[in-house]
Amino acid sequence: MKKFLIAVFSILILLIKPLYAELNIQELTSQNGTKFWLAQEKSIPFVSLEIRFRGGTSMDDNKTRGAVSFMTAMLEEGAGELDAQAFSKARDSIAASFNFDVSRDNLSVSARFLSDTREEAIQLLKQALTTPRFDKEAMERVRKQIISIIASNQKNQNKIAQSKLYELTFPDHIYSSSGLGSTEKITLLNGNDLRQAHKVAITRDRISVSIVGDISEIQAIEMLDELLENLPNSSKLLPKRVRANLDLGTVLVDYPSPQSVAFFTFKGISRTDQDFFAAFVMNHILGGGGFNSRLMKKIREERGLTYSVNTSLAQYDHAELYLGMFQSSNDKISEAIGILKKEIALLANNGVNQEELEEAKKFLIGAYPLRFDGNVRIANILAGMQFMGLDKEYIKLRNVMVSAVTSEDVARVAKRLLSSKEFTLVVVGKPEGLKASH
Amino acid sequence: MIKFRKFYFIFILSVIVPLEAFGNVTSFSLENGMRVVVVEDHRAPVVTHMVWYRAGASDENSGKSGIAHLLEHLLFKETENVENGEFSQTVAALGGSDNAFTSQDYTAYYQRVSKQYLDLMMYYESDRMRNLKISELDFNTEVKVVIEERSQRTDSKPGALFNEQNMASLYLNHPYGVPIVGWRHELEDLDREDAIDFYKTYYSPNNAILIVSGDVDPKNVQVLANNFYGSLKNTIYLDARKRPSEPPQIVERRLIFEDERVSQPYITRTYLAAERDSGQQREAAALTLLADLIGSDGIQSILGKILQLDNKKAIYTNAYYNGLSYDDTNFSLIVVPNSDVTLLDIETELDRVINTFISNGIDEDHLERIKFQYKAQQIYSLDSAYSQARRFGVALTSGLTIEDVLAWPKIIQDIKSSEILAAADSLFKKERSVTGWIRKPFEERE
Repeated sequence: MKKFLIAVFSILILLIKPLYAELNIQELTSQNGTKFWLAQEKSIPFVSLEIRFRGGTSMDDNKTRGAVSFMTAMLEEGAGELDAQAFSKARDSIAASFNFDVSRDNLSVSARFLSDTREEAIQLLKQALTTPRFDKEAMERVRKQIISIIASNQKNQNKIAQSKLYELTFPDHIYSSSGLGSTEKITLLNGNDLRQAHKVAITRDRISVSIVGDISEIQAIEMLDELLENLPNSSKLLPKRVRANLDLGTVLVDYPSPQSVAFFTFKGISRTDQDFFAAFVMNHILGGGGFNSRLMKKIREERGLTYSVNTSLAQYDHAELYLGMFQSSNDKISEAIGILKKEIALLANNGVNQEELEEAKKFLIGAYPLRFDGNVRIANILAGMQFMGLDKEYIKLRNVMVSAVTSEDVARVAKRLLSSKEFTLVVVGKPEGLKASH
Repeated sequence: MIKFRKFYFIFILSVIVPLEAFGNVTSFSLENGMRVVVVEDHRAPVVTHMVWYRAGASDENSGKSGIAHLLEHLLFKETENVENGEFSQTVAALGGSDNAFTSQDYTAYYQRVSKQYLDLMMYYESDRMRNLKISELDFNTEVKVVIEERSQRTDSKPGALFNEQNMASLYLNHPYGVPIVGWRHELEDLDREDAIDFYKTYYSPNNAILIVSGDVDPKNVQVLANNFYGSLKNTIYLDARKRPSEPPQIVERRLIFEDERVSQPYITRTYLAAERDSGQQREAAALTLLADLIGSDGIQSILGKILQLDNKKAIYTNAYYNGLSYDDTNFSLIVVPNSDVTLLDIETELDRVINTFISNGIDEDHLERIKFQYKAQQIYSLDSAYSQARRFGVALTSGLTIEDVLAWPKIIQDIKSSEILAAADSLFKKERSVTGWIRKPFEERE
């Protein structure tokens, strides 16, 4: 019955009108030369604006590690004539919201504002981006918050596992350490360090922008030129590519908890690799596909050894990884790791069967258009696409690429990525019956 | 082939009852008493289909904690007509997503798919409302999974254990003091019959609410709902929903929770608080605004202003209140002290700020800004049909009506400062509160 229903409905899925046919994306260039994407959607009177500045915490110097994330936290703590409190009052009195966030490779700005107060919102955001104050008092307050977060992370089981993995995988590269910095370094940072971080991390030529909502083409162009006019161009090179160190086997970290946390990584794959889509489908089948993935079925559904297990292809600007994680009770983690290794070997040696390949492709193809609902979600996707270097045709081509993946493609890429020689597993907890490799 | 016929050919057109429409929201009931709410959003051809049961962890029999949530897991297993995991696999094959969640007051299941599969979702969801099979094997495996879930989300996190103890201390008699996931020793003791009991008692159309949001026509939803859910039988005897209630609380409670995994000590103060009641939402609206004025609006709130900006004794302050609850809810404050300030000092400061707030009255400008943000939120929230649908689900399983939900934004705008002060006055009573300290054990402190 199941197979029958799926067959019936997968025929239907080919007949539906794709959502993105209705999504009209304009590729525009502002007067000042900023390229951006616009999707007009006038039914709700607000605008969503997403900006990504390439670089992120990787723009830190080693000796001032943490300066970019500290600076990012300070963007809403006063700008231009307004101190921290005056700034938040001005923002709230027009019910705008600005979120500033930073990761390894980019600093992101997510803004949302009502159509009626667009100009006021842009003036405020412009001040935050171009003339942040870095007031001493606000800096001391935020510094203490960051130090408290660093201390919490040092005691957080997941964070311990994650940071151990990056430290071992990327020795001698900026990716090896947390972008938050260390207590010692944060303690020493001063206003000049933040101003320097601001200068290198928020630059006009390393920008990806999308605008979605109740705004016209001309308004969008004027808005962007106004917002970005005072930003500098980049003055610091991006970090170099790094080769991931992946042959560390099993690494153990002691931690008092009834459960152990396992983070693992294999070799990753670049988005421009001709086997990227094969790897994308493979990941869905192995551990990316929620309840229907092989690992979820074997480790959770059949044996109850974990609450959740997942894997994902990570593409950073200067490296790639194939990451996974799960948690199991200390007395069960060895059994779970045994199953993980068995499943990995099985996939590397035998590939996937036709039926699961088709099911995975159906999901990936069908799920793609469903992502495009809501202005905020669409704005996010469009900025992310530009950041990854994709053009807007990708929206139409993406499902074609997924559907072209064959079981041979998956078998080839599985053999290539899932090698037991290039595998690192970090376990944090009090695992029973597990030995470190070194 | 029987299942095939069931899905495709049972189009019994029952009497169409009148639809009540409020803007983009339409509501009606089926003959068996099942409530239906439709939220229209035609921007994208997507639909979210949800079924909410008025049954959550607080409806469990005593000694059976965790059964509501465990049963939620088991609903993804087999039924008399559907194979183990088939529903989720079908949703996945359509590119959709599905999940479920359990709270103290409700259990809810949802799928998000392309709009033309709404009938298929209804077929599966209505089937598992009455036809679930629970095998011994599935039950035993799923208990293990839930114990792992508890280990991951609660036992591995000192903050989560601390919250669990706070709730257990706040509620002297009401089951809100029992964790949704269940106490570990009771989870280990649950058996299959407990799950079957809970299922048979509560999974009934007259105890359920269907919510469909997205690119749909309410009339069409009505026809489909009648076909799939309209013919389901009700549980014959379903008691009125009544949990043990709180006695007068006459003594303040204090906790000191120590765990070697804590890095940052902090304090919380949690008060028993009124929830939103049907037709009587003003006190809850006043408490909602009070939370913003006192703590949840960052450095504009009085806690942030005094403790973070002025005397710099705290590095983080916040307030939480959620009026959507079937029985008495709670209002909590959290203060994370600066490293040179003791927990005792920061507790004294917290009490001082509460007193200052009550004696100084309300900053009208701040109140206006907060109200304006709630007004704008009505516009922003239109961007997600899913969250609108979810809001109705929570409200309707918390004893509110659609009218209550629709009236709420205006009530928030109408609340006067005097009502907020009155609500604060009856809220901030130590004998109806728990004060919690969380820190690392003494020998590990520096």
